[in-house]
Amino acid sequence: MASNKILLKNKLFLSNIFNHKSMRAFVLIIFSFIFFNSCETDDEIQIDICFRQFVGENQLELNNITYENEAGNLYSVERFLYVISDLTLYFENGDFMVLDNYYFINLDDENSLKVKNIDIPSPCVSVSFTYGFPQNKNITNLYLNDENNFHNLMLWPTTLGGGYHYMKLEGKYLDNYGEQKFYNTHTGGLNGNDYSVSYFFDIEASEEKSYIYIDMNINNIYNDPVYDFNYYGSAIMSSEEAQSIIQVNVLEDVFSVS
Amino acid sequence: MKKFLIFFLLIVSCDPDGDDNDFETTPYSLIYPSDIFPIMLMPEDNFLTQEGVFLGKKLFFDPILSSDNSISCASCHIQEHSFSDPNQFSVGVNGDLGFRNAFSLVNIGWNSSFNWDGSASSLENQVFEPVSNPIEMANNWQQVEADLNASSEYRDLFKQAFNIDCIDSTHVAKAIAQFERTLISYNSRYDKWSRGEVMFTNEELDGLNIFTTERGDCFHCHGNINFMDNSFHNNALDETFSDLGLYEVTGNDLDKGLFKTPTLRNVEFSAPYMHDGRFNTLDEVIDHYNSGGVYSSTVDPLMKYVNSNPYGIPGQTGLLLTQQEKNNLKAFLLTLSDEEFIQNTDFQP
Repeated sequence: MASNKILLKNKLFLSNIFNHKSMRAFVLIIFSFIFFNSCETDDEIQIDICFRQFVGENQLELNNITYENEAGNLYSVERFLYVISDLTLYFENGDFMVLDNYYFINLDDENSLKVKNIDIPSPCVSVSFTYGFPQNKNITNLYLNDENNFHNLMLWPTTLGGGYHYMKLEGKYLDNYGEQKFYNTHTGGLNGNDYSVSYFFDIEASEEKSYIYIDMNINNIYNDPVYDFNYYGSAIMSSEEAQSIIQVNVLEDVFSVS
Repeated sequence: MKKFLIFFLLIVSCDPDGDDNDFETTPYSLIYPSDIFPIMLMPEDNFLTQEGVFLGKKLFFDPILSSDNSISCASCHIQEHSFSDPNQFSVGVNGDLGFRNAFSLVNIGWNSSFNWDGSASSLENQVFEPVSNPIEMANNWQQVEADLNASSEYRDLFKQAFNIDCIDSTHVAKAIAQFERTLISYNSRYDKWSRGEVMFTNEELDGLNIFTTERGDCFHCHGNINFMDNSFHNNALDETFSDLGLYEVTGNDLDKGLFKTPTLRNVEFSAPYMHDGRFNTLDEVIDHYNSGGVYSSTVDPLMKYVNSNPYGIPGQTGLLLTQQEKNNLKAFLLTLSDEEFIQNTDFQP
């Protein structure tokens, strides 16, 4: 009964307003303004891109020797930095958008895990990117003055081909004797070779979608073909064999986009 | 009492803002190869000027900053030692010893944090600490300001550099920071080799290879043109920590025992080594890394070959460089010496 009273009062209020000519014009202007503005909002879509890291189904947890790869190595992750370059979004209306030159993801820097508030013209239907840098963008000192200490943290020595690391994945593993050892899975353009990997993913288009997730399954860096820490040892920057096997693994099922 | 009176009068009479009319300074251009060195970032309110650098140098060498006028910045940051202290710990005004080795100031302008524990976020901030530290200059800034304001020479110099009539600690710090940013080395034998001006010996070339590959794995922390990574690491010196380093600033358990990576430029001149100056020679430093160091809970994963249980077997792990390889690595490190920097009269009072 109370709500009916309020409804009746509102009806009376509106009819009173529309009985005045000038007030009617004013209300029309206001409604037009709201209508056109809301139309504009409908045309704009804003999304965030999130870089997430998993081991199997579970979100990566640092500093615990709990993960196991196909070789049967138990390992932990203590530090993880990697590069995604040439990130491109493709839209339902046929347009595409090339985002920043590269993204430097560093688990020590929470801000690096998300790209916020990207205005897109229509729903995103596909995403492409490169893990690491393609050869023409992997040049020593090219990113000399970039933010987030990128140059210092990711420089790849000229002695080993120059350019920048694609990835630094570091932690501990248990060796064949049950001893804990450190591993540094560092990848880059060893001896001038291009070990970067390019991807193209179709995703479900939706105007409601406010996030695009670019996920990594870290365990698959070491799976299929099998990568055994005991065989490759703690340091692989000079090993073309190790760089190649990780490239193959990364190509297959390390990244996914949703 | 007399000092107090002068201070009181200055407080009363000081007009902090200078007159903007006709104030001009001469820009100071830093010279370094900009294609291989990053742009040196500096605060927008403290760009280098000839007047600021001149004033900063005068302050750097003036014991007026210490409580008994006995030591200056230059007492512990000595040019011939690449602006570091050859003593393990520096001696303060009361004969007190510090507990960390004085940080070398060569190419300090490219650092993004300062002190071994990163407790200062800018060179300007860094200047404040030693002046009031009771085991260093043991002074207080009110006294420093009073002493400087009592000097007509300093009043003139601050007026010329910053257009202020009343000297304050902020502008003292700004001036010293300006001078410190000019302490640049880019003419070592390594730099000349990079430019194709000299040839390396076979030993130096092998040392370079050890340094820049995982044979020695020096480059991950000392890899760029300034031979430091603007970051913090636990380099496997101790199993337990008497100095907690970065943890003292962040309070994060994972930062216990982490210290700022120092530059290796002029490393020949900047002995002793490590945050506590425990190693007197480069041979000792190389032996430490060659051994792999010892395990602790925060040791950096880059220290891949730590040799204390349960991480490896002492004597059988570590880098396992031969004596010849260690000599070669040392030969390369010596190419980072810049005699011109050590003798540069622009850096002298």
